[in-house]
Amino acid sequence: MAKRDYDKDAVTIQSFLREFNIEDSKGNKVFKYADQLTKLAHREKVGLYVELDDVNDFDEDLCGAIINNTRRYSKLFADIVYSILPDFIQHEIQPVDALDVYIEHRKLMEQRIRQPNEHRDPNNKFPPELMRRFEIYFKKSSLSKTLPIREVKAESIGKLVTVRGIVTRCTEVKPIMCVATYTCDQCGSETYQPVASMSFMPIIMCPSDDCKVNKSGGRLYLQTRASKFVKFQELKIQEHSDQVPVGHIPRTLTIFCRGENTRQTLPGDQVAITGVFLPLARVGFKQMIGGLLSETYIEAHYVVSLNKAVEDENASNLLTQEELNALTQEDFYTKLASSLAPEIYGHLDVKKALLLLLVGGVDKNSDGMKIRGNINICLMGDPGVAKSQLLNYIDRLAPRSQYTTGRGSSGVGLTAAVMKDPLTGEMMLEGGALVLADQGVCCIDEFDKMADADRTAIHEVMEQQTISIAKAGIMTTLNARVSILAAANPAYGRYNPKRTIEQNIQLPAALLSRFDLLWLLRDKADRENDLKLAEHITYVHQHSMQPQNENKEPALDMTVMRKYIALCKLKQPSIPESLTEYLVGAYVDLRREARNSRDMTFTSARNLLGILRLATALARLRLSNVVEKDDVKEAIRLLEMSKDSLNHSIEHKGFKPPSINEKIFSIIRELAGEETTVKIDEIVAKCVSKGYNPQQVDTCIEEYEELNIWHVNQSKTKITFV
Amino acid sequence: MDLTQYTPETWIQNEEVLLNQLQNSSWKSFPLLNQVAFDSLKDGQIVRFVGMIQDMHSPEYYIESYVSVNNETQEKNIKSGKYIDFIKPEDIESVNFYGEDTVRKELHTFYAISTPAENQWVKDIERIESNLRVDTLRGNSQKRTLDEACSSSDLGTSYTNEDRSNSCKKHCTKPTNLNEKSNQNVPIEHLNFPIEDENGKACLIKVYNNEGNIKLNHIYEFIGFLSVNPRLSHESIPPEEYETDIEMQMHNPPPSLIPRIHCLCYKPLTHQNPLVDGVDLNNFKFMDIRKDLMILLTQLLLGDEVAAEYLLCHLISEVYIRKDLMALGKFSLNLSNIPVLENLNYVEKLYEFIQLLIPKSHYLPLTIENLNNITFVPKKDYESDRLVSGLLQLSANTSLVLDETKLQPGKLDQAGLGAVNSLVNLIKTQKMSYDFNYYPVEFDCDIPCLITSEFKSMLPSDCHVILKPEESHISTFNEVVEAAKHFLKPDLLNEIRKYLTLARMVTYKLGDNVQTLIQNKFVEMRQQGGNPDDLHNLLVLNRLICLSYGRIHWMTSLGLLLLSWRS
Repeated sequence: MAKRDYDKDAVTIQSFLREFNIEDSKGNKVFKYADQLTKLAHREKVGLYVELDDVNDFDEDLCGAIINNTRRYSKLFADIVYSILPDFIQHEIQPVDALDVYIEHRKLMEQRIRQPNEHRDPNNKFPPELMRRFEIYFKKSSLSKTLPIREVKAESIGKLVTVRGIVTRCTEVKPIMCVATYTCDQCGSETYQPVASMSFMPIIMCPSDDCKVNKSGGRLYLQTRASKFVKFQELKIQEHSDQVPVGHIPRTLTIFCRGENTRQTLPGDQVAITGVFLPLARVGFKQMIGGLLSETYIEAHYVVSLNKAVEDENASNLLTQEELNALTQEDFYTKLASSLAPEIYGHLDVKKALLLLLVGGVDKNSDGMKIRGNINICLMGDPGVAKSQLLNYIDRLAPRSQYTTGRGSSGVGLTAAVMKDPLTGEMMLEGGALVLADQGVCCIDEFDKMADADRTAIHEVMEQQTISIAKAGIMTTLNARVSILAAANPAYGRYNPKRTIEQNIQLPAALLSRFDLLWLLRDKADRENDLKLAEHITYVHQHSMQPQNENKEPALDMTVMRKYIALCKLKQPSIPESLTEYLVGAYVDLRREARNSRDMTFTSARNLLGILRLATALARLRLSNVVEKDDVKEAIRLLEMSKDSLNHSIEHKGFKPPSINEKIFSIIRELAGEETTVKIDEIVAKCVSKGYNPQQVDTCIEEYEELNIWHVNQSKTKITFV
Repeated sequence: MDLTQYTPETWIQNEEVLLNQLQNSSWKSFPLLNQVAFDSLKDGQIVRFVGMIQDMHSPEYYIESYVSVNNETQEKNIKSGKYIDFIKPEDIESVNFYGEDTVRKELHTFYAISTPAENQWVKDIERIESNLRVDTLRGNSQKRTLDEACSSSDLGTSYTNEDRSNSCKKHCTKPTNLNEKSNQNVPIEHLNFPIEDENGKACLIKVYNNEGNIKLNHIYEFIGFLSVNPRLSHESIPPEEYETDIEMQMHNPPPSLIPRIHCLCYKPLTHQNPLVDGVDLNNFKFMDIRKDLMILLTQLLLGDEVAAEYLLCHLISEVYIRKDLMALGKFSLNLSNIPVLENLNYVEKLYEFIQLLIPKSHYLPLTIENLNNITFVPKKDYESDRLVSGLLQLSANTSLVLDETKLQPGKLDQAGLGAVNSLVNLIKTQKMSYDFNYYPVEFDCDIPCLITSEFKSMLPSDCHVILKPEESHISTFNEVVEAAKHFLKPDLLNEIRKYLTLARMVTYKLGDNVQTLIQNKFVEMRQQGGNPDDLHNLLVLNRLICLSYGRIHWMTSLGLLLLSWRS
């Protein structure tokens, strides 16, 4: 490899710092680094952050060189900045701390004692580290990838790497000596010793000319105030759980932060750190024992605490094009849905609903009006229909989730508790499951086993997505933007078809209406289905995989699902004007139907919002920004299916499909009210308005006449109930 | 040259060929560190260690090659730093570790411990085997030291007297003495065993290649150079330099306590039964042994033959497929209606026999104190940067006998609740969430659980069997036990041990007709209110029964299976 011409690089760097500029929105040139340098010169800023993206734009070659040999270039940059810094001074510099004053004095003294003929730069005698009051840091370029901690290997030594992880430990910030300054007790001259490592060997004998010539043996004393210290902090970061291969322990990495990079994080924070990967040079005794092994560390250049949003974005980027292509095939909706808990057979509509719950609808916040986008689902059903398994799967799949059982949680445990700190006696708020699952999913199993009082505690969460606390002097509102996925057994343990739905469910209407979808999973013995189920299970046992579905593709991997869902969540689809009419029409239909057939569930305005939520979630799933008619149709279909799952089980007594005659009969009954006679004209008019044709009405009237429920008069204008 | 005679210096010169040779030869000739006393081994000798990976440390960097300059002749030599901890001090040389010629490579350190919950009989067999070998080996090595006394002397002496005495101490004395030595830690805790094991050993394994395949809680056999240089200990560092750093101490324990092995080669072990090696699966008499084993188990289970069938199935169960949340093949068994009599510790007696039959097992009385006080789940300690082990950190196929008859009403504290929860999760999914403080990390495990209780257990189980004891057996149980001991002649015992391990190795395939039969039966069961879990259990049970007969296809098992289905 040819040696780089550092002198040439120095020239490039200098012009880069002086000339690099970008145009702002108004078209003015902004000299990014020149501005920063001015601030540095006036001691208004300490850190100079060089963005590698900018360097790359300026000189691609240089950028590569910096990444591969960061320490060298960091020094080169510092030298150049130091040499050109005086050019940027525009007004008198105010000394910020004692060291500034001290440096100023030294410079003056040097000037006074220097020989008239001698042309010396006043800074020359001092080590550059002492005189510099700025720090050079590199910011990673957007092109370079973030390395998993596991991938930082021997090849990366000396290079600039960016890693992500979670901070597990950080020491206190301590001053670390950067330049030691000594004075001699004999000649009074000063000696400087730059320190680069963790420890140093103090100089004892004065090396100055005076002492050497006179052999006076001057002793050096360390001057704390004249020495330069920088802030120093040691961090340990650990891999994210998703980067750990199965069966391995998460790895850790040591980070050394100096100066401006200290105090950026706390244990538990998610961080991205750009820095130079270096072996730890051991000195003193540790080196003496001749360790052939060395530890490594990253010298931090740039530390950022990541919030959740950034992380989600990154996760979606990881989805490769291939995976994306596979996902955006035609029947991806079904495919994604059937990949949810693939070991559970059937229940495709329920799985579709759960998929939408994971993706979620769009929140609307305007002028203090808040409409939740999270979808709440309640699964009711007989024991052993894999409700808990579904919940468990969702709990694992969702990036953020809490799993509790109704039996084990009180209202306080779910929402938030006020606790007295045993040490300080202060009141503290402790978030419950719902608060902890903020922006995630809260799975509540055995919902029916919860005490009523506790259940009401989550009413607020389900609609307003907040938790208000007024207790023991603490009044506050906590965010709890959660989707609730509840599972409940019917009131008598098993669904009892001989009783009404209300009797079976025994949950208050106020609560039920807050669930966007309510599914009843019945465990009906059904020969054909059971056989299919049996085949499915035996197949799994034999081949250790799910039976392949029609398109011969295995179920999607959990991580792919997770990534795709994260990607979906980035979309914010809106509902176009043109769909309003259709939506309104659909809703009116739903209401009417609900009125007609003695519906057990409650069709309310909440259902309309539910449809909107489901439709936006569907649009998100398509990675689209606009809701289409099909989305609304599918949303309504799901809603109807969920209602059907409840209603069917009632009407199915004796395995009869719901007959039109029965429905028309109920309309007539209603129409009759207290009277015993009803005009047929009226009946026909009413029924037609509800979507039945006159023929159907006629057959109904005839049938019920045969059953002797009513008489029709001769002219066929009136019926009279018997 | 015999492979056992190589040293790091000689090995490195011809590494590839030798490695190949090593992989294709029997490893039995290397001394087994688990059994051999340290004082019979030398620093730099090739040894063998069998153990479970308990923890993994962050990678370290070693110097693969460096240049040393001879101070007198200015001659440059390229030297290797592989497989050694220290460079031999030679005064006339100077070395610059931070020079440009230094090549650094990654190595990975694993903390391995003797297989937890390994039963005594396995250890005994291993000890006898390895002692035989060490005797012959010792003769050899003495001869060698005589031959090459001059050349290898400095290696020999670096293994100093002090160290020798340390290791002697470890072996000759009880743990209290060790306690004095490492004054901050109780030795058992220091070694981080999930289950206390007085003779257990721990090793730091330094792996240079292919470390990616090594997984936590798996058992491996390692071959490598032993390194017991006392300078490796944190105690050799002056206290003023690293006074408070617990991590330093934990990662650099005295090598007399935890030796280092520079690993050359390793292989995973699928079972820990030393009897099984070389047995022909096809000619093994499964049927005969099964009959004898059934007699034994029936007697032990107080004459309940059906329960004995179930117990047999339980003993040979293992997870064979894992898919997301499901672990197929697990077969946890709840034996209820266990007789509780004042003068009879039935479960403990039963466990005595289980312990004799299978290589790895552990008996845990489920008392309130145990649940509250024992650490079940491993937890990462960031102060010392290590994974603090818990009782449930066990390798695959370690049977856990949970004795619920010992449970009395009482109050579980937070830890106790956590313990019960982790047991429930373990039984349900055969997964464990280790506590890494900031997030949990899940590890697959395969720990068959046998729960004994008076009534239905509070813990879940795949199969609940109500024991139907015969009165006559209860009253004469002590005699039954004696008779059973008498019945288990050493030969038969060894055959049964082989049988239980071999049964897991039989390949099993579900025949189509059996499949249809099962499916139809399931549909029938559904009509009577069964649920899908029953089918899973049915299939697993069918598989286990087939395996227990050593047959690849088995058809009539179904009859038995359904007859006895009574949970």
